[in-house]
Amino acid sequence: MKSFTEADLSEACSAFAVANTPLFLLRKLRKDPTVLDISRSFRGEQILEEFKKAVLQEPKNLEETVRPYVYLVALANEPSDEYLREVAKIESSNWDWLGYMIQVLLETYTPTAQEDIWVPGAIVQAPVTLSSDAPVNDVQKIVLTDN
Amino acid sequence: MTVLGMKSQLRLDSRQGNQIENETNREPPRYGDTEQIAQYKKNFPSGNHRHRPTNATRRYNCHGLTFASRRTWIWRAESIQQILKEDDYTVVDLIDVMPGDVIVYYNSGDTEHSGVVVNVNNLSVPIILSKWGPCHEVIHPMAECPYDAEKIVFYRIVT
Repeated sequence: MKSFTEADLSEACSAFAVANTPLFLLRKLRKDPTVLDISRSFRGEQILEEFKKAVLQEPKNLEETVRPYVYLVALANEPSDEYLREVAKIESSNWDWLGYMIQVLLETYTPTAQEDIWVPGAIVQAPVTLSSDAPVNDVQKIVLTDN
Repeated sequence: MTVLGMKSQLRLDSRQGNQIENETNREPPRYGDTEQIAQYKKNFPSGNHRHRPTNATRRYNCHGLTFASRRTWIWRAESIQQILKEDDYTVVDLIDVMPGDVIVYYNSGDTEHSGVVVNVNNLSVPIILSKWGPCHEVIHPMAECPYDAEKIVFYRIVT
């Protein structure tokens, strides 16, 4: 994702539209791949900046309504809770449940880190001995190597 | 800016006379609410579902329908627990469920949804009347709704 406008907010909108409680919305956003994508694509400062813009804006559609919540949960994926603490200082009392959600995220915050792990290996065709009439196609296995 | 500038709290007491925290919101439906209802009608077509001709509103939610006669929005899990305790609800086994009982959908400690049993079909599946967040009211089989509840419990007031 190169820009915040590219974010697919359809799942977030659907969750917001039937949320009876803030914890329901929180659970849905934590599972939303778009939220994870935002966390991976942008730095904490950038997400915080978008959050500030979003809460100051008068929402004109459902997408604009859910943006602050999406950015908030994306900030909770940062490796430090400094951004959540920053968010807690921003006036957002006009937004449904936002203060409550910030409080919950701060109380349940667990430091996380993302790392790409490279597993040395190669995909090779495994020798297959057919002992039944069932068709066997494209049998492959991963062989770990030392390099 | 006023997103929620039209909120207030009703006097809403439990049987024991303690206030239940609530929030009633008089703002008109928001952008997207009506489209969302259309989407849910598409995702949950009539047949198993009956979509009541009620509009999107934030005056009440599912818990407000179930426990407060459609007058207000109750959103804290603690408030639902308070109602269940102070209003003397007792747990009912699925096999004994009948119209008039209440269903509560739990997930990770949250009371994510609730409704009123209006029927039990010929497969012994309870049919529920509930409201889906700020969207409309729906009559649906208990498991066919947007709420992925981990645990469902039925309740009844006996006395």
